[in-house]
Amino acid sequence: MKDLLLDIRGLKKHFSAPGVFLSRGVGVIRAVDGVSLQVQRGETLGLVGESGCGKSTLARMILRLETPTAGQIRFDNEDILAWKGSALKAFRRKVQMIFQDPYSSLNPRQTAGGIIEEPLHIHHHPGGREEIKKKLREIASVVGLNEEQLTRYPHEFSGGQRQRIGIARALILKPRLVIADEPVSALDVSIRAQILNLLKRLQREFDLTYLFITHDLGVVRHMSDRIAVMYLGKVVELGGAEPICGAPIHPYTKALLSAVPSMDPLRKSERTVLSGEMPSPAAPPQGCAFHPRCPVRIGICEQRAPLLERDGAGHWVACHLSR
Amino acid sequence: METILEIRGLCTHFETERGIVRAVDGVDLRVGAGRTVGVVGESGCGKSVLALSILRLVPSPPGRIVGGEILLNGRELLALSEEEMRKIRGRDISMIFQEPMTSLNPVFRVGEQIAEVFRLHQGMDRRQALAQSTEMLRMVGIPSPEKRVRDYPHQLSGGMRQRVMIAIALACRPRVMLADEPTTALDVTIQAQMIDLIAALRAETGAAVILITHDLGVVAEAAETVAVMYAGQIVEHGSVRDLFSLPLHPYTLGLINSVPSMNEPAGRDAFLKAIPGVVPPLYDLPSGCRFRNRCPDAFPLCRERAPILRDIAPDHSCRCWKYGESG
Repeated sequence: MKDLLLDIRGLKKHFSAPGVFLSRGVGVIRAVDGVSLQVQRGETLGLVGESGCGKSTLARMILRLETPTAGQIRFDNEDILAWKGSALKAFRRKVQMIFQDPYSSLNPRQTAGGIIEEPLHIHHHPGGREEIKKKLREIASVVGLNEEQLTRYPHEFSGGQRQRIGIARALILKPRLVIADEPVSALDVSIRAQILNLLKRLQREFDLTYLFITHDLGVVRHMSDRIAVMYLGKVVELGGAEPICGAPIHPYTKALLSAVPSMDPLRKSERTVLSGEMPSPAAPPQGCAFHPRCPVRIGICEQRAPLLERDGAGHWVACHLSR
Repeated sequence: METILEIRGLCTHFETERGIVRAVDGVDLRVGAGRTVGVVGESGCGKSVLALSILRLVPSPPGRIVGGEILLNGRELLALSEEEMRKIRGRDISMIFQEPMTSLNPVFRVGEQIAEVFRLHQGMDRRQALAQSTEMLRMVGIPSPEKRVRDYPHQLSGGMRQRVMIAIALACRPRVMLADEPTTALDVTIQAQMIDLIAALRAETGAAVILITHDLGVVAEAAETVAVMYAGQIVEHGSVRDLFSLPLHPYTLGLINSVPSMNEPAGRDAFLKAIPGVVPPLYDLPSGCRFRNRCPDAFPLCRERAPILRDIAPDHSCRCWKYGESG
């Protein structure tokens, strides 16, 4: 089932940063700095990294909310960066987003039903009023909202219920690709599990492809078929969820995994705590961007940036030590 | 183990239009010198109100501590005058908040904000206090503290700001440190640094720590004992080892099962054992056991009578009828 849906090559987004107040010079923030990723139809690709690694900017470019500085995005083998007007609008039907914050991503003046069916109006769904209502009821029951709830306003719902509204809105157009940006981060532990289960069930039911963005390694392992780990605008490791979480190769992936607090009280073990913080994408270090924090760096790491190279079946790593 | 802080039967209620909200409803907790007790629960379980109650910072009205005792080294805090209480806050009991950006004053340099604690509680002059602030920044691991002391909060990263908050909290070497979701806003690698930092400082100063969080992993790593809260009450209390290896309360078990495992492969068909439903509103609790509507093990008695918290095993207590009606 090698069926390529999304093909990203050499994607870059550089923002110009106005210099600090009254100082000279304009800096460049390399938010996304040369990312290549492929997403197969029906799979879940997890995109994981800490704040500022560029994962959300990458998602915004795929949605065409941000214009790339360089690189290519092909969807269903077509170059989406060339699209304008009605072609772009048609593309946007096929790619939908689920946002992190179910509080600020819903219009407080619209009813839940109004919010969920709005995409149908925007995309001029051919059916009449009756058919739109039918679709609305269908999708609402799929995500677990009842008919009475559709007449209520966002503030009357709990966080988990609001996220169900956001999911229904994303799915009512039957999209091909769903980008979920931290969809459960704002939710309580028990509600998080309900929503993760819902997303998995919907994937099966509607044959969805997910790009699942999160900083939570437990969640990404649970949800993904493959995982891409980002650091400072670049993918540093890419592979199947099990090899990445079970036998990570890149020192950053290893540190990230060992930093996750474990519920197993017997496993209080050899944790690698990274010193320092992720540098600013406005002034990335020379050579490998991770080298100032890397516990195993060698001489070459300060001079040359490693390339993302294949290391065994489908596992890609950008590290001088992996070869 | 020397008990530093002991809470007995604490009740904090809020009067709202919809009725009385029993945010904290009969909580007992004790923590010893150099120890950490974790308080875990979801939004609305009363864990933050518990922290505010200990500091007597519950907004009143609508909130009120209606019962119980809070003993700091045997001294009853609820009997103190507001003036006496003000001396305790920041000196004997301090707090680290979740959001370092909103808890720091944006228009003052971080050094001055730390210095304020020294001037207020130890009567230092400006110079001395600033020198001490630099020392505190060094202690919490901020590089080149003599420069950073002159920075404003916006010039620091989230992790650095949280270190500043910890420096302020520790400035007077308090006997109790309340940490309310201290790592929630931080990235995992920074979170790991904070957990280690709080543990190191606790060992150095002998402070007792109450760690409030929704993150079971953080509690398992940072605390020795845990209290699980649900709808204003502690439903299970025990050592980290006992509670995570043999959870007794169905809610605790549900929470543990709700978190995707880091140790086992998931795969396409792996679904989480989620707890159904949501936390009931505190002004409209079900009769009997507050968890019964969501509980997989509920039986008729759970509807009729509220269970009490009692020892099921040595130092391991649980509020559930499943374990019989009496000890």
